[in-house]
Amino acid sequence: MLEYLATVGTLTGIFAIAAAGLNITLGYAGVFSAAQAVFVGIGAYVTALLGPQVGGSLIICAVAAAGCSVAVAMVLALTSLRVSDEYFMVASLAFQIMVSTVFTGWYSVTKGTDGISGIPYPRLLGTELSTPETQSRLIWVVAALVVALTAVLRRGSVGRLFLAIREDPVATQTLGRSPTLGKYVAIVLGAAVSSLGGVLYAFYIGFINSAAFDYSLSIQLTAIVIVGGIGWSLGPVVGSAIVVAAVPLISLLDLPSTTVGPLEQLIYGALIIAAVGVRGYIPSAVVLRERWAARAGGARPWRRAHGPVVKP
Amino acid sequence: MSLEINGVRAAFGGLVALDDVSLTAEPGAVTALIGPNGAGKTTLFNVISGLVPPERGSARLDGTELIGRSARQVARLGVARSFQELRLFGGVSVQEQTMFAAERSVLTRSRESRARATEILDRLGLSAARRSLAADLGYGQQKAVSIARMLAMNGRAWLLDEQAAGLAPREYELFCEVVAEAKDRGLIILLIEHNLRLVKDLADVVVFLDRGRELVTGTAHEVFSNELVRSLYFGERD
Ligand SMILES: Nc1ncnc2c1ncn2[C@@H]1O[C@H](COP(=O)(O)OP(=O)(O)OP(=O)(O)O)[C@@H](O)[C@H]1O
Ligand SMILES: [Mg+2]
Repeated sequence: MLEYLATVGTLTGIFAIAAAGLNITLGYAGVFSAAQAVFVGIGAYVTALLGPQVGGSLIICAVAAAGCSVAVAMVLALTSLRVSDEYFMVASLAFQIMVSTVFTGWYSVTKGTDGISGIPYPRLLGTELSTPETQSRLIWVVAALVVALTAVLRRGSVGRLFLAIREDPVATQTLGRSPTLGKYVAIVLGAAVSSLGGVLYAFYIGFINSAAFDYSLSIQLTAIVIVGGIGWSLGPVVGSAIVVAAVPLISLLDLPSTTVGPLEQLIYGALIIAAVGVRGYIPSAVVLRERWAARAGGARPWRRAHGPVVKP
Repeated sequence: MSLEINGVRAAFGGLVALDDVSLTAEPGAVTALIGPNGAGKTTLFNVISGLVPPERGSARLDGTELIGRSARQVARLGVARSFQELRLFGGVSVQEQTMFAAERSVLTRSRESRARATEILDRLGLSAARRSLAADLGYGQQKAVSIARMLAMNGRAWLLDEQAAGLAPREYELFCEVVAEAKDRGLIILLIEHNLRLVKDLADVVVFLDRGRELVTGTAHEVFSNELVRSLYFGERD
């Protein structure tokens, strides 16, 4: 039981890192990407394939994973950012499905659903992290660093650009800045961070297969970001604690094992809808407050008609 | 050194919103655009700022053609505009959005943009509200934030779309002061107003637009006493 809890605790950290990437893309910049699992998958596959060649070097795997996912994210951004926001969501979902198909179908490399096992223990600064405890510590240190870095990013000039784009792309343009470039950067940065989650996942579990990185992971990451509080740097940790640690507790209920999986998906969906419903719409963390303000001050003031013309 | 609009025509489907509009806004002067609802005033601002492509015509800022450029490029050439519906970043603090407006790229040092924002917010009486989200502010303060962003942009030309409407007397006074200061600094100021007392007080040149046509141009006195303006805008018959 204790071991089970430790595993869940570590997975919470891994998913928090993966979701922190989506929090940059979706939470800060308001770009609704449904393809985030792709980048987690790339991180995991790079680790599974490259890890044994480089003696499990964490740094090499992380850099290579980030590089590959940045390249793939550029493809996604280049091909899909031309369209409007709604279409981007659809295009990114299509992208997710395409890449999932590659993960499953490119058997000679990925071993499809059979998966790749024998991933070595990670090695950092010459030390092999061969116990779950040391890896767990590593994962939470990385999670803390990622949260801190995203918080710094949020408070700096890049964060201000992302938020401006999320709030009003037209005003962003008339203030002399480019929403497209900002979205591009948000997608690429988000992909790099999420791939780190994939690297740590592959090292920790020691085995990966294509089923782990399909669209349902994208949904799960979206649920984590939204439930945790969109655009809040600690949100992915809170969301992951709820989605990854709390929801699977339903397996302790006396349910037939075949219903547990679908039931979890249902709960994620319900959580997203509930969180979105509370906030009014997705891309803003503060709509709740905004609504309170609007209620307090009557209708939105700028929606009212012109005041009377004052004659000279 | 001026903003010259020449023969601008813009249409939405069959609706001609601007029909051969020409005007010149000089630096260090306030040019007011007046006219009934739907006259095309906001559309002219949208054309100048690169949000609505006109069918033809030109808009030159100090000789540089603005038509055909993106909204972002026009802004970077020094055209700062406000919106009738404000378009503030509701979920962003007053200080942060003012800082954002002061930054030309993500490489701008935060210390510089923060210092500039602080100075501007002080001037506009927004210091106490600097940490508030724009959406949480009252209407008058939201309008002040819109001005704060324009000041932060440090542009050469201002396009103000009904910025004084709905202000309390003290806010109104502050607005007039800020416009007067901008005028003293030699900015090109084009403003849309329904409040004709403000137009009379502030404007050096008044342009009357009606159904997309620029009908009368002159001083406030000349335009307000014009027969056509009186019948079309004030609804007077004599
Ligand atoms: N994006 C658009 N699409 C279609 N029609 C538009 C658009 N923008 C403006 N119009 C139309 O163009 C005409 C001029 O509108 P505009 O907003 O420029 O008027 P205005 O002079 O600013 O009026 P107001 O004093 O009410 O703000 C109106 O008939 C309006 O309905
Ligand atoms: Mg208007």
